[in-house]
Amino acid sequence: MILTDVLGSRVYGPDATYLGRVADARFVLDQPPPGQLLAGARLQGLIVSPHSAGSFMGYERNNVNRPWPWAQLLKWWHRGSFLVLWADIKVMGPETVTLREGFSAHDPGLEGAGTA
Amino acid sequence: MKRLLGVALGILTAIGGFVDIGDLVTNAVVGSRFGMSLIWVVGVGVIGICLYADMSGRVAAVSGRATFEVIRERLGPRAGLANLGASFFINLMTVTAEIGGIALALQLVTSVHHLLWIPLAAFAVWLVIWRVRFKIMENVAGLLGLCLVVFGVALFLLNPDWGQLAGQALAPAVPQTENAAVYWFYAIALFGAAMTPYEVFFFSSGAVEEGWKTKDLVQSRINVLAGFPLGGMLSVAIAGCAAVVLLPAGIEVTSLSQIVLPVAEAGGKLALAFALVGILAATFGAALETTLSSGYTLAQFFGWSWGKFRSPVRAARFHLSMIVCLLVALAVLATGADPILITEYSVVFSAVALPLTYLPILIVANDPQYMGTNVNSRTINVAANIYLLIILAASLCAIPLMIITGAGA
Amino acid sequence: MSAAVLLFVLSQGLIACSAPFEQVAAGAVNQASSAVGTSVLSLDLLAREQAGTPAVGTSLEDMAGELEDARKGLLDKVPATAEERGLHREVINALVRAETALALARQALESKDSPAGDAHTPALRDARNALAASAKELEGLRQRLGTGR
Repeated sequence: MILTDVLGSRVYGPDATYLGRVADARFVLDQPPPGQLLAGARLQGLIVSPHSAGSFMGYERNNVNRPWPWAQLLKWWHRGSFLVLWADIKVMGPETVTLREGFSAHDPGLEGAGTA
Repeated sequence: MKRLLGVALGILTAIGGFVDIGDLVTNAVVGSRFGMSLIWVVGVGVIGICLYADMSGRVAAVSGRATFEVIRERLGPRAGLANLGASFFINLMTVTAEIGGIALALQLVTSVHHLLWIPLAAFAVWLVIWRVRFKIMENVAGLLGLCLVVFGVALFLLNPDWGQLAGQALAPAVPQTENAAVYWFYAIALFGAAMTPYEVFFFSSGAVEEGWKTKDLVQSRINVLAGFPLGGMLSVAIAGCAAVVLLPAGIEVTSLSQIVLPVAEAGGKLALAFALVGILAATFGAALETTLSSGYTLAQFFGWSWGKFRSPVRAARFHLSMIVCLLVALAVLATGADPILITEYSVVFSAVALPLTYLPILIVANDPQYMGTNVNSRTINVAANIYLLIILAASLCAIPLMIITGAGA
Repeated sequence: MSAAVLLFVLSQGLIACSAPFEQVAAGAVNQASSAVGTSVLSLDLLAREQAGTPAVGTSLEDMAGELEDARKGLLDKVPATAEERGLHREVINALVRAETALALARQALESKDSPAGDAHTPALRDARNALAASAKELEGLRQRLGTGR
């Protein structure tokens, strides 16, 4: 499975309620580098957006709010989106993603330079 | 002194490089049918291209990322691919039109049929892209393109009724022989010709090719702000010549040979020779720029190594994709399709695709993480937003108007 | 994008079929009038030595294509009423006269540079006059029919 297969997939809660679509995948660079000039990335989780599977266009970072009105428009487009951690994903199948019982929805925003 | 020369050279290249087959044909058609009554669109288009070319150049100089790298990053894989599809298709159409334009200009010089010139023109374009250094390539084409100034000289020699021309330009109205839908269709075509997306693809990639840094921003801004408006004046002169000589004679431009007639009328064979050299240089230069742009967009989207600053062996897919593009253009032209018609469609489709290119640039030019203190000022953002509205309106109206008017026929 | 192109082509087909006859005729006259006007201007430039043979020759060749286009466009359209048939004949005749005059001009231009060229120079003037007459005729038709837009 490659990332493109996952992006746009429908996301369901443990009780089969529709939650949204996968808009993005969040990686953290905290692994030992696999080689020179490479960074060790670890999949932290998926960003689920209830209204659109489109790109955040960079507005997942909380401190970016220009230019008016596009920043506001794109943030509104992704209102209600949340981050689910890798550990909270039960099934990552083709077309759909199902979350574990008692999963927690985190704020998808990134602080500062987006390296958090 | 050397710096001053650099600035002057940059401006001259920008002037000569502004006009391509799209500007040439659209302005002459519009001049011969609407007089100066659509010239205001050239002004609107030139301000728009100045605004966004400057922005894309600034993004490239500060962040080191060319326009399509930015588009790929911000839009994500799917929307990005759709954008690439549309932009690439239109760019390929423009490549085809420019190569056809070279062949048509060569026919005017030699009277050998243009279909026979097409393979040679495409080969010459490839050879220059393969062998010639970026800086030399750009400067030679731009400087020779300055020969188009002869259209401005011709306009003066024709000694027109300036009051009447100014009247048409300042108080635009739809001529009685045309209807409003056709008028607005050509307004969009002119706008698309002035703001063609390849100009920013090329401009921003060129900034990376030439290794611009933040300290070069002043010079790049001078090039754009002086060069493009003066290049726009050339467009106006082309339209003006057609308005003065062809419009009263009931001649509507449908071929390149008609575009140069007013110049011959005004200045005889010598002026005609200048016009032909200028057209040849303008179309050849633009053929180089559009062919490179198709390589740039593909390579930047798929993450291949690109650039003329690398030897072809180090950017193999980049060079291969350009060869394929040239072959496709060659195949299309070999069917006998009229290059002028292809040009007219390419400028309208350019207008359709404008928002795809310009919105991502505006967004990234506002990103403090990329741009640091060089983010857009508030004034530029206001202007850019006004232009996005115009671009969006033109984009949405282009296809319906094309259908209603039968592409302006 | 391809859907847009397809839509466009289809709609053009529909529009071409549905346009009234008089409008099609007017469009053809307008196109021909522009082509003949261009040819006259080119020949005048040649006579005044303001343009060379390659440029003028190319221009005449392009205009021959335009005239052919205009005539073919009109031939595709079948006139329905007697009145339309009359107009059809009138316009087609004018177009044929224009094409003949232009063909004459192109021949004269071809032979201008041949060794026996001097003897033929009057042929260019004759062709120019024939084209000018055709331009006048087409202009008359255009005044009557409008531009078809």
